[in-house]
Amino acid sequence: MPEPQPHPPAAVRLLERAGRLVPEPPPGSAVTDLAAGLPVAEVAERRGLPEATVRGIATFYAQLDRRASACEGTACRFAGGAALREKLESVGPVAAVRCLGHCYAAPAFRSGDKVFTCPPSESLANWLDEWGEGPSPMPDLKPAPCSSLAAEPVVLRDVLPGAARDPFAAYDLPAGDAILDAVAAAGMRGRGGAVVATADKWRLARATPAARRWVVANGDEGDPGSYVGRLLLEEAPHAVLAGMLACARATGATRGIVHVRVEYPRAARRMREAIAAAAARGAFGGTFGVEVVVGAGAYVCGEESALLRSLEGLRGEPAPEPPYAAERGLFGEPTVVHSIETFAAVPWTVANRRASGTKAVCLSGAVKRPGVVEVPLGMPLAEVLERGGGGAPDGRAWSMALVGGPTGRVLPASRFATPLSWDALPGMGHAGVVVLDDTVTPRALAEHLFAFAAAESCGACTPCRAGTARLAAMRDRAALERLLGTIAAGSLCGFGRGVPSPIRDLLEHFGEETLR
Amino acid sequence: MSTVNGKHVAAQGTWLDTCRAAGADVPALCHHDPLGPGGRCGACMIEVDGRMVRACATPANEGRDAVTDGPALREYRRDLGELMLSEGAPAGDAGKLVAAWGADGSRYGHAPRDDRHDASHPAVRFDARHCILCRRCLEACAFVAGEFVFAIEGRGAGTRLAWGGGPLADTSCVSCGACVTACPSGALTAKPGADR
Repeated sequence: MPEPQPHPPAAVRLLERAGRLVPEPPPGSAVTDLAAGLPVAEVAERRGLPEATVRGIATFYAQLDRRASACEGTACRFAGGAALREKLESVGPVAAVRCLGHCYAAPAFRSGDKVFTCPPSESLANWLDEWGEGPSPMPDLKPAPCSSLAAEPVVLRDVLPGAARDPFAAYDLPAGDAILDAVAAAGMRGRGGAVVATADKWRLARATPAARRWVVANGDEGDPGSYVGRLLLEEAPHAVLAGMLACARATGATRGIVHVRVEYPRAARRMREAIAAAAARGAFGGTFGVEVVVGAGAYVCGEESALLRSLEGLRGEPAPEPPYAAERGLFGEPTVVHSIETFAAVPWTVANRRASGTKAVCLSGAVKRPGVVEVPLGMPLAEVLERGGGGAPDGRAWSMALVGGPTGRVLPASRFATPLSWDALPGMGHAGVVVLDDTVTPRALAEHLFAFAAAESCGACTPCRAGTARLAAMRDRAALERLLGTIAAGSLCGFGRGVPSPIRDLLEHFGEETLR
Repeated sequence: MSTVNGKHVAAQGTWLDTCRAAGADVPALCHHDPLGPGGRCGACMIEVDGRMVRACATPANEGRDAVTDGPALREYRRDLGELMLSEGAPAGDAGKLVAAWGADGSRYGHAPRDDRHDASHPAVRFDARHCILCRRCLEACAFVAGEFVFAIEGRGAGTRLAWGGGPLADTSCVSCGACVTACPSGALTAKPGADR
């Protein structure tokens, strides 16, 4: 039987049909133009797009609006985010953002391109009280704290205290075939729990006939409770770039894009510096070029297909898969997309030809020492929290943990012996942990998850758009479970399909407490 | 070979194609034959080897057993219909489908997502209450007329069909009627007496 014909996403198809998708567009896109403050009519003119289409793009992205924004991520929500927001509102208009990747120092807010957090030495109440009287709040410029419980740290090897490797050594890579061979021998998979083996994805991209291939680092780390991507972009951009270069050699890709969320201004800056430094040393060898593209604020752009639409300068909506990006991705060309953490692990994997066996876990919430900790896969959550996070702060008792963000899993404290691995805890995704104390009720967490889902649903498909909008009003367990079933089965992308996961856990472990 | 409702059929294209080749009726609202899968409305759900899949966007494989009806699918469709009624009032084919699924608006209340109305155009009338955001009008406009009158604006529950800032009459519409023909939910209709 003939293979089903792959269909390009509708928006691209329309543009192709109209001859408006030029192969080499001028630098930037409608999204970057809008982010730069150009009016809709001018962007439409520059990009050869209908004005209505550009209005559609402009109304999709949350962060084209540059007001100060209060973080509404999970850690910030349960660390006094509401009080912070109230304070900000007393000064001027405030937007919402999810999340700023400062979960370890919650609550956080952004003003301009700086992020501010309450200093650890001060109580939130005091910090807010002193506002406008004492010195102005200071931006948080320190990297996220990190440590390792793994025998051989892989992801964090260049950022742990005392790490002192020559950043340019990372670019010393073998030829493409040897790279592919090593990645295959290691059985490498994406570090968010990917189903597809990395080598298979790369082979598919290489085998697909194309004039041009792309490597895209997905730095759209929108999940509250996950910030290892930001840490790596800021402190080990060379490792990410070396991973992308390895992928380019193995697949024959000539163009690379590091997509960095607009919520991570420092990460974009550090990555641009690292690209310039590597290019100046000739590290990319003349056949590969990388650029940074800054996002415009949409959680769903963490989805591969949505990210690619966003990079094309369109509304960042997911598309049905297949076709997969490795065959038909950016501008319809083969594209390999991985997370920042996955690319950062590639150079080590190429050198060692075996699986790392580790996971970088971001800890936030009720622990003494929040931060990123690299652990052996399969370490029980309790041990990660005790040894990596220093245990619960004095006088506080854990109630539950959200693992893997708002489409991840909820574990009650009684289940903290669960090993952190994708086998033992399917759906844990990136495995970022926000641990909550017993002042947070299951209902409060449920309401937070409902609000997050409704606010970040892109609206493209009916089950997710209409379904997430009705979650908060559900008071009957059977009816809520039915709605979750409809959202999980009918949604177009992984976001909608994942929204029910932590809510089902809450219902399983806390029953009626979830509902009121 | 695969089976659809027990009938043997060669897997071809997507499951929607395969089901139709087997003579099985699978509802689809956002799918528009020449334009390929939308994956947005969720109406074309079937079960393949016991797992729910969206028929329009899932490639069919040999050696599988698909069914287009059953208790779980009926429950899903009713609930999807209820969600459609919670945010709007689909008419036309979509309205008939929702009624056939047994949805009556009793589950999720009714909070219209969009209630704009535009009667400025000499030939086409738009009533957003009936719009299910399938985007068939948008694609038909581009493919048939080569125009880009429509676009999608906003996000989440604020998503809506739009055509720039002004009335529909002020757009580049050439009055070809392709959008009216493509609309499955009665949101875009021909004005009585308008010559198409």
